[in-house]
Amino acid sequence: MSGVRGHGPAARCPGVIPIPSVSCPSCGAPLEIKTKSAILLVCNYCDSTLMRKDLDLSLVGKMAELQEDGSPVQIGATGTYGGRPFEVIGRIQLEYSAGYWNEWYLHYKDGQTGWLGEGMGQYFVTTQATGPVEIPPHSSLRPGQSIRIGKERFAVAEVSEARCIAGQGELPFEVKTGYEAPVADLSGDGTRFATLDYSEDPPIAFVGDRVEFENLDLKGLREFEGW
Amino acid sequence: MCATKAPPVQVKSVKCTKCAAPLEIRAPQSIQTVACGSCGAVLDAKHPDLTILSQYASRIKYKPLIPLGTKGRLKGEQFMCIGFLRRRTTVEGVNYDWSEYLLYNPYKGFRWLTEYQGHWTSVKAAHVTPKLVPSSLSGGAGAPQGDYEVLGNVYKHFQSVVAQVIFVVGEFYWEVKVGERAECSDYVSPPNILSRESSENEITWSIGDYTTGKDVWEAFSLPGEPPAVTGVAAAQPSPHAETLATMGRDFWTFAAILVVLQILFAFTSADKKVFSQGLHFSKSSKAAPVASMPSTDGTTATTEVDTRSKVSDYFDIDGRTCNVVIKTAAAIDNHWMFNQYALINEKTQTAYNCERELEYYHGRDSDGPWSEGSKTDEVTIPGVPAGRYFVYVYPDSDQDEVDFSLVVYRDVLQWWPLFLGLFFLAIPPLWVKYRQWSFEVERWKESDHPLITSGEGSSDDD
Repeated sequence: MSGVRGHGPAARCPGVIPIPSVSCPSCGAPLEIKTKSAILLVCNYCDSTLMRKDLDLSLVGKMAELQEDGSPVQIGATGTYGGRPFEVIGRIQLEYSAGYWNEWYLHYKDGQTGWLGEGMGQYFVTTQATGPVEIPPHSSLRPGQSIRIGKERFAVAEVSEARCIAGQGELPFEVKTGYEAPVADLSGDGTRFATLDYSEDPPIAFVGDRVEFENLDLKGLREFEGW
Repeated sequence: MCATKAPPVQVKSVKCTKCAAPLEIRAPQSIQTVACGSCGAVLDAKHPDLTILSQYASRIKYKPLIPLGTKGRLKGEQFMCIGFLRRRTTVEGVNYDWSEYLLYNPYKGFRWLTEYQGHWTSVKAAHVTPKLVPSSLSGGAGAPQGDYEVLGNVYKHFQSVVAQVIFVVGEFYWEVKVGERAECSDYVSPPNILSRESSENEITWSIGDYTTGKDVWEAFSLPGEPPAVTGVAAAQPSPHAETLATMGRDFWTFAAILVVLQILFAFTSADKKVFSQGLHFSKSSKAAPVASMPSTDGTTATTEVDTRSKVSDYFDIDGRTCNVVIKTAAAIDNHWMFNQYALINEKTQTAYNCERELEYYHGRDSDGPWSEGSKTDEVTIPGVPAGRYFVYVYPDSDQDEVDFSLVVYRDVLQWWPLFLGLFFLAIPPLWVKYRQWSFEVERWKESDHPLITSGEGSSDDD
């Protein structure tokens, strides 16, 4: 239940180099770029979609509107995974037949980046799999089928089609609104989890863990009336 | 600077598209469908106009025991009941119905409470992938895939059924349909239950904890009493398990005490040989008055009243008051010997009487050599004080002449008190063990693998 996170330098780019502050070429609002790997930025104020090349930002257009999805996570929220603190800096919202799903782009304090997949009260922390991955075609996937990613073995849990609705904040690649993404969720040993994203050729694998809400220590979440 | 921060999510009040009954949407945006309790219309919660997705016409209306919108605290976590389903499975023409309540927390997602015959289970999605392990049941029907292990617990296959939705009201995070079928398999490790639901393109695992009606009533502050409990539920923890555990502990504690005592006795017992004498029995030396016990009047009792009766020499027994063991060895070969003994205190004339029968037979038949009985015997006389004693023997045999010997031991270590003690100690735990087994029989009765097959007895074909 993730996907459309495309290619790009993504994951392992240590962001030790300070990034100068910039402003939105459309409305002039200040923009904060947190990762060196940021490619796409959506202005918080005017929804302008900005592409980043070196230190220049070029206006690409307006980002499509996000749908209200009842997610408790929001940009600016912080948490910890495996003892490493992170901040939520970007978001891709997807739609499935079963509802909405978010992939939150995480910026870890140690400079690395990753993803927090979230929907219907379930949480998955992943990073893009390194090295070549041999993935069977989407149409041949069946629940229960065994797939190897790196040294790990996973079983197909769910095969579905996702549609990208919109992006928000800072992202490591360009978000293609309305893009159809065939995806598959895999479960491994214990809490191990993986997503296959077929929106690119060859498909990309994201590997990580299923995590319980309590163990993420999330702060700065959205409020719900009466809760 | 919080332009990105979304405003708080609020409960929405809407009207049913079909019958205009007021509906509350308590988990807006997290849900897909709303089922109207008044008219049975299932509405698309994602659509701004709440378009009708399906319509069910259920003649029976089920009333959720936990009213929709009720907030409660289950195991320390706050949840609101937002949906209610009634599901059914039909086995050999019999319908088994149960209730499922969908619980929601905006941060923690969804949980379920299921209720069947007054037994409740609190269920959440498994965040650990169950691991297939070989089944404990050999080739039992309905367990083609074996058992599963989750976090070190082995869940035994209980049953596999096709469950059908027969009634629905409230909000759901998927497109719920009356009549929808799913294959469900349950695996148990009381008080937990692991459930696998599979459809065409999805396998979902969930883990439930057995919960009492009282806990549910307290969690949601419900009025009245929870429904009465019938039978034993699949994941119901055995009430005997704990008793059995404490009893087991007690048994081993007391058994250890007995063993320690036995070891102490072993160290302190003198096990001292105090006397031995060879004697001869001769039938021909039978004389007139058959000796009776008191006839041996002490002092120099070596005088033979009846030549058949024998009197041993005097011997001294010292130390604390404790047992005396008389060992007899007789030269009998395919014969028997019957001895009446009296251990007599010289001073007090106190007699300790007993009778011993020795027999030894052997031979050879089609199965080879055989033998039974023994040429030796021993008898224990408890509580004998120190003093000067002799043994009076009145022997008998089917042989005319028998050589036999007496050996007397003092303060011999006894094993029977230990075994008798262990036996009595074992009775209560064994009884509870039996009760426990009966409980398990009851639990597995409705499963695919009953412990006792009633009548037909064809559940275990290979």
